[in-house]
Amino acid sequence: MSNINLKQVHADVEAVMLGIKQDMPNMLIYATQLAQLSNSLYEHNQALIKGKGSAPSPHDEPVNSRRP
Amino acid sequence: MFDRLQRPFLTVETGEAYQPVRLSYEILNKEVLAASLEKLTCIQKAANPNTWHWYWQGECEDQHFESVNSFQKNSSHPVRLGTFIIHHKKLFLTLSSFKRACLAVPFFHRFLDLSVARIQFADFINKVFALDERLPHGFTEIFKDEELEQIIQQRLEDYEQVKQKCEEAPSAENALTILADYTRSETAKRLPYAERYAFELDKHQQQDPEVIFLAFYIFLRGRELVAIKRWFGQAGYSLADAADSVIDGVFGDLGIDVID
Repeated sequence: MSNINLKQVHADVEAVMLGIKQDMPNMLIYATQLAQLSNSLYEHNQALIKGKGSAPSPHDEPVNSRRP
Repeated sequence: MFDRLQRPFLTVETGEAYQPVRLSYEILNKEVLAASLEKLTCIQKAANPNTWHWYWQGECEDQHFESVNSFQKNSSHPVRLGTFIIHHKKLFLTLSSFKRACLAVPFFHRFLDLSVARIQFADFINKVFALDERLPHGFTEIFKDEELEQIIQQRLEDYEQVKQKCEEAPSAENALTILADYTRSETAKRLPYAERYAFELDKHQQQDPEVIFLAFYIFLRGRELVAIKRWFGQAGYSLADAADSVIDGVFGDLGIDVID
């Protein structure tokens, strides 16, 4: 699942780069957020590889729970 | 302001905000173009010459609109999603919402060969309308080619200038500061009333169509959110906030935290 989602992130990065010339400031913000997301995914994958994926941590709160 | 908070904005039959969009295509083979359109059951020739209507039926029956779960389709009166018109040797597809534009681009990419017609621009309005507001009378009234082109050319110049400054920066940290300063000053500005999205800035580059469609969606989705949030009184809502929301919408079901 994580690999598929990493592909989604990469597709988004490509898409953002496509639009960057005509909306640089906003696409830069989007790209920064994607970079943060990509970092999270990487760390999540690393934790899974090391067998720590199932251990609960303060960072296990789903993104969805931030929505009002 | 309080009065506005009480009022809904104008929506189209399929539930999205009314926001006029015009897609422009370069025509490469007019005869084949007309035949390609008329082959589709979702397209019907209109009474006016060089005009076709696009209906929510046939090949596009399965197109999904989240906002219309309760909408009862009437097969004898299908919803008209847009109108094609050939004018000044160009093909225009006029639509009444961003969602329809985002569906139309990949949909017609499947049926209009690149040797027949090639998408060039999407021109659109960065606002939603009141139910009783005077609507623009015709697209030529709101989309001035010269003004739209000027906005896009200015942005391309800005891009090249910032890129140049970053390349000449003494260190990566300096380059990042240049980008951060530029971003901070630009994102605070209001979006123009009408804007243009160009599909082919780099004609020589071969790009995956899916990425092209996604780029268009990202560009429009953020602007739609800004228009709606501002309508409901969030005057400070920016494209940066919208980017956060779009990413959350696309990747929010990962079940992992995002680094702040």
